[in-house]
Amino acid sequence: MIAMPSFAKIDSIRTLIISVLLSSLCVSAIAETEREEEVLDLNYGLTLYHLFQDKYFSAITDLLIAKKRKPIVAQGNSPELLLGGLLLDYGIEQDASTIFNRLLDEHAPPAIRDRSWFHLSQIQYKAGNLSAARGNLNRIGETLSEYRNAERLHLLSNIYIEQQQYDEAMSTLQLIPKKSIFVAYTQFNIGVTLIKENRLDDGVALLQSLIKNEATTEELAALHDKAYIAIGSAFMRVEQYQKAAEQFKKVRLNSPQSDIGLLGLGWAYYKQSLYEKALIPWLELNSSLVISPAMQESLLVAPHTFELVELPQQAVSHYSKALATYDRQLADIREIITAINKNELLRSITPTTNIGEEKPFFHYRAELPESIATKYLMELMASQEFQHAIKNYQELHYLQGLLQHWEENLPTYTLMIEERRQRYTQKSPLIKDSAQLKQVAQYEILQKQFSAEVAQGISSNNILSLASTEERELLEILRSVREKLDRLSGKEDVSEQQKKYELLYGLLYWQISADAIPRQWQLQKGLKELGDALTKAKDLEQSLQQAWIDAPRRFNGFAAQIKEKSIKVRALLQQTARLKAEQGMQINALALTAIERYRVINTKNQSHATFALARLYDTLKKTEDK
Amino acid sequence: VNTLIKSSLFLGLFFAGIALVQAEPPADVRSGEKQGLDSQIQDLKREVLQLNRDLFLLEEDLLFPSSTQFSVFVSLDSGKLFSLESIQVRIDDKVVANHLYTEREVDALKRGGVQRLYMGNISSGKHEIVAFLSGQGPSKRDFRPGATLNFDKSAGPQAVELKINDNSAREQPEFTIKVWE
Repeated sequence: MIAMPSFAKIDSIRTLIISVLLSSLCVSAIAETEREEEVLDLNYGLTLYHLFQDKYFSAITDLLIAKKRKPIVAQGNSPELLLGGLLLDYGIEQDASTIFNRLLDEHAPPAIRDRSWFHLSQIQYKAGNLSAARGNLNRIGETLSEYRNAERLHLLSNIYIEQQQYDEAMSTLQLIPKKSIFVAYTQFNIGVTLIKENRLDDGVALLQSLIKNEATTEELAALHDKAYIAIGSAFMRVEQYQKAAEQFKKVRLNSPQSDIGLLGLGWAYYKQSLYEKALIPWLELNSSLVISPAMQESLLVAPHTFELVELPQQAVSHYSKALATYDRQLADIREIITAINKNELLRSITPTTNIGEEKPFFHYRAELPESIATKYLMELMASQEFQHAIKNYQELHYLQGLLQHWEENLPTYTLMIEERRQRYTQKSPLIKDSAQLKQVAQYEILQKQFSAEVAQGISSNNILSLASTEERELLEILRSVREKLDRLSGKEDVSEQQKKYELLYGLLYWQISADAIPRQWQLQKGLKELGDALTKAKDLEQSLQQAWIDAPRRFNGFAAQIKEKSIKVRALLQQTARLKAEQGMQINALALTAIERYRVINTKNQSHATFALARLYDTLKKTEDK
Repeated sequence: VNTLIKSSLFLGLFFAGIALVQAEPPADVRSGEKQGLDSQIQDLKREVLQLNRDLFLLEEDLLFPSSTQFSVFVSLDSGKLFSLESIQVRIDDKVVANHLYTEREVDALKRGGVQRLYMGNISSGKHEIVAFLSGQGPSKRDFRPGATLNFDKSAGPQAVELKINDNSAREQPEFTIKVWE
């Protein structure tokens, strides 16, 4: 194994905890939602926009709003399936379950049914309803993606393990595509279980087939480390210490399992009476910055081994070092307990986002507190229970911020309603007497007159009624010329002018009549447009008047809703604060229990070291006296 | 001492066993008290989600009545030919939205998400919307396309979608505005 600086080791442990948690424990119900379908509805696209930023709360809200306002029909069952998956990931399993069951009742297409069965089985598995989960996993068809199908088989094999049907679990393992990450996890789970069940050869063989494959990712490397430890521990159990040492040696020093690997390696040598070799990993472990039971144990077994190799001064030095370390750790532990009781841990896990700003979903789980307790809480941090508790706490913090946002905004809306109401009261008489509104009726009368004129013109074949404004002016001039000619007729010779008049009139008449059909069409079109515009104006006027009539009722409706929602917001804020406090207490209790475990081990080890040191001094004194 | 050390060994290996079990998927074994708290949190989340939905609807009705409601959405096709950095939207020559994109937001758009960039009120009738984009076009060159649309705001809620598409034939990004009723 290659040594590396301890600070880097802490960092790598942190990274590994995160990666292992993300990949193995938090497989999202909707993780595989990719750009598979065209977005046909803006609200569905909006949901995806939030989903792809891991803002699950916002994505759920988008779908709920769309469902109430304008259901997304263009995307088939996808929005409903997505909502179920989001609710499942967000921890509202009951509602998710209802959605999946409804999709199954509605005879959705096979792909939707398969996904629904899959998610239902996840919920059932989590609730401990293994038979139902198994039934649903087995009825799934062939529509799941390769990744999801591998996950299905992994889940199925876990159920077989829990039902102690190991051969079925092994058969299921064979069905998982070889390149899937789930092969490694399934091999690991079955292998460890078989070892626990005293089927050592089978278990070890399975774990060896797991580590035979190259660890291409950090996640797989971490799993390999765990497999080495499991095989090493199994060999220790049957007293095959050399084989055990070979396995422990393969654990990487920058792995979260390195402390157990080093401790195990020392013990494997120790059991072969290779005491000097045993000291090497134990002394390495002594200097670890991460505090673990294995590290604490190494502080005690190293000086004991120095005694065995007859290096009493070295033993004294290391017992003294152990005692100093135990003292320092106990002081640390006291400080940490005080810090936890002062809610320092809770402060460090409280998101620093603005009030009501949603953090991406997985960030809840991935952020570790930067607290003095971190090096003592590594193991706890990696536990699902603690991660779940932190996630709950941070989600409650977000909900609290969101409710505070509404609590602050709702009075503004009340004020807005009041202002609108006042404006309404002031403007009401003006609107009632509005001349503009009355104009619509006048225009309607005019439109009817025009229509009648046009209709009469067309029926009487009155070509001149189709004259344009300019032509009408010319006709008017010609009419007055005609009158003058009539007056002068018999008094003077106006035959020349009469001819000119007839020519001009004829030309104008011809011009209008030649263009009569398009003019008639244009006129009718214009009248239709006028009619449409008037209808629109009338509708607008009516809707305006209706809105005006409805306004007081609407104001009252809004005011009542705001009042009702304000009460609800306040009630939920209180409830959130209470649950957040309870969840915080639970987190503190978990941390204190973990710290207490170290304190108990430490105190016990401290008394053993004190006793061993006294005994050693006594022996040395006796030797000197002799 | 040997007995002590043997018991310590047992502790170490026992610890290893605990570590192994953690790689299994969640079996979610929690005490009754913790399950009770979980179940209360689940109920609370459900209630807050419903209330939040109702309040959003109320807010929308109040601030953006359907007769004047107007929204601007943004979508991005594959985004291979254009790396979006910011957008400015003007309606009737008035800036209504400015947005600087994070990597996360651009990624969400590339994967098919649609962003609601703006929601506001405009009167029925004729309007002009202008959008200016900035980012990097092909060959990492600065690219500042824009688009204009004259539209008729109807009496109901209306939305436009600013669509950024890759035109692979022309090796250029394309920017269009689509009206949704």
